[in-house]
Amino acid sequence: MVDKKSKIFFLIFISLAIVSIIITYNKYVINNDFEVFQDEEAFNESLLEE
Amino acid sequence: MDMITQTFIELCEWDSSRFLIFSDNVFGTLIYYSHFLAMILALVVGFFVFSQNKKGLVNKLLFFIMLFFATWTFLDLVLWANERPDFIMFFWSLILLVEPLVYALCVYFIYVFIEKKDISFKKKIGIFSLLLPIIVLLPTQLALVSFDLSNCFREPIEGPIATYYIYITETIYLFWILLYAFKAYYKATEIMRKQIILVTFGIILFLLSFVSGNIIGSITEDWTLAQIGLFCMPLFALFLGYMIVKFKTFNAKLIGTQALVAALGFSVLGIIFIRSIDNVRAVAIATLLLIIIMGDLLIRSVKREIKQKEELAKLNVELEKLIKQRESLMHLINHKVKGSFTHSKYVFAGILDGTFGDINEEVRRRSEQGLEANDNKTIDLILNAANLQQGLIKYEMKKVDFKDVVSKSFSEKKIPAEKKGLKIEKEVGESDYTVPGDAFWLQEAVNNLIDNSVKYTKEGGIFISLKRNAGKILLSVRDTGMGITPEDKKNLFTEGGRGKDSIRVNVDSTGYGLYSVKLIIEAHKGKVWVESEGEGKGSTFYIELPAVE
Repeated sequence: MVDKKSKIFFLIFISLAIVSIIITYNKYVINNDFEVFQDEEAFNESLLEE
Repeated sequence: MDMITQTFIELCEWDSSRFLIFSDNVFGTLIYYSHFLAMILALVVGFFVFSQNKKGLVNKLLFFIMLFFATWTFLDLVLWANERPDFIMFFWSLILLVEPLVYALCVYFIYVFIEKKDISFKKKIGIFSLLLPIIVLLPTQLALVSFDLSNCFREPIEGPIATYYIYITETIYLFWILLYAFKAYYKATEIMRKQIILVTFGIILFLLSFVSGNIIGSITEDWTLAQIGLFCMPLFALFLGYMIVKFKTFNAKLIGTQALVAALGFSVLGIIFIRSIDNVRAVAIATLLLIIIMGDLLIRSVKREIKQKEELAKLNVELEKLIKQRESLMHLINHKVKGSFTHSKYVFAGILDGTFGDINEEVRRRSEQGLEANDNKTIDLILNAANLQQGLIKYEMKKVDFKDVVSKSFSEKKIPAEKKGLKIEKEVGESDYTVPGDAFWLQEAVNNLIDNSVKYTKEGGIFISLKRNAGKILLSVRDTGMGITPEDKKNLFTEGGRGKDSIRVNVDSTGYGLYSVKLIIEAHKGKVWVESEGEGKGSTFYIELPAVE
């Protein structure tokens, strides 16, 4: 059996993880808030290689 | 998304995914095969182990490990198939969280598996606090810096959390498991040592399967070869299966394990027949060979178990024969010994009533002694106990007034008690004392209980009380006798069990009186127990029976 103190700890831990996932989803998927690294030269080289 | 980014994406000609995971971006059937196989197996193993014991912590932990591993596999598949940069950024972030979480759960699992109990709160904090920086910094650029469009690989540029911290954490967890298992191994018993080796090996193999995929892929740039990591999953499942059979670790049924092995064998065999993945046929064959080896180990264990069961069945037949022989012996004793006692009794009685003519005082005294000593009670007691133990007694269950049973025993035992100079009292409260039972055997039990108190009390008295409370009838027989030590208490109601000084007080002590009481009362769905403050402080014996409502 998991004791009460541990249950509270896991509850906080899981809550934090859920909040973090929601923020990440909001940032990347809802707001498209991320940088795109563009390097035309490298990209063309990569395309040629393929 | 700006126009330039849109142009870059169009130039890459990425396919649009269906249901997140289906698209032409995934090259080769092997990726789907390896991921689905691992995902399904993880869920099967997880639910299978959990269903065996839903309350067991070790089962719960294994279930969560398998559940998060299946999640990881799904997320990985999304990254293979999906073309949307926002989704890739999000699912990549999730993988950064789920992967070390599986490692942390494995550390927790190995502790609970070896110690067979939950770990301390401090250890839990120690294990899971390593994940806190990942959780907190997940939405920041410390986890993922940007989406990389310098090529068409559909990958983000990772920050220090993803590049360093996660690998450092996973390495720490791996060494944690190894060091703990190493330490536990030296303290463990021989059987436990084998379990420790197997579970540690299984877990390390399982965890390395994560890392190996990335390492092999990065070094060889052959991502089909990198799928070898996921094929470690069936092996891990096999290790578990082997442990289930060998040590009954999760109390699983043999048949379940055999089904698991068969399913694994067939599923991996399937790889060989998928034409589009010729290049990994060697990997599949190697996996299949390992499965055959592990399967063989499993089957050997099962065979051993079956052999043991067969031997046990043979012994059972022999035991039944012995029981029957013992039964016949008991009948023989019953007839011969009791017959012989009865015969002597008549001879002594005949001498005393003058059937054989006049006798002198010495012959009279000796005959009286012989008649007194010649009772069948002791032999009856032992025979009854033997019959009760063997289940040869057929109880005729009727409604019995337990008050009458107690009163009859009280009247019967009053004479020998008072002859011994003991005070004997009875207190019966006004109530209905009807119980379902066999009057004859209940009488036998109460007689034995009171008789026991009379025999082991030298001075003082015996106080009998009968009460009814909440559908239960409670008889207590308190005496001021020799008392019972905690050590004697353990053996008191066992076959031939008696206190260490009982023979000193009662030379006729057989150790079967209280044993019969227990057998009779338990057959009546009741309880019998004793309370005593110790040697010389008297005892109170209790009989509790369910009352007729």
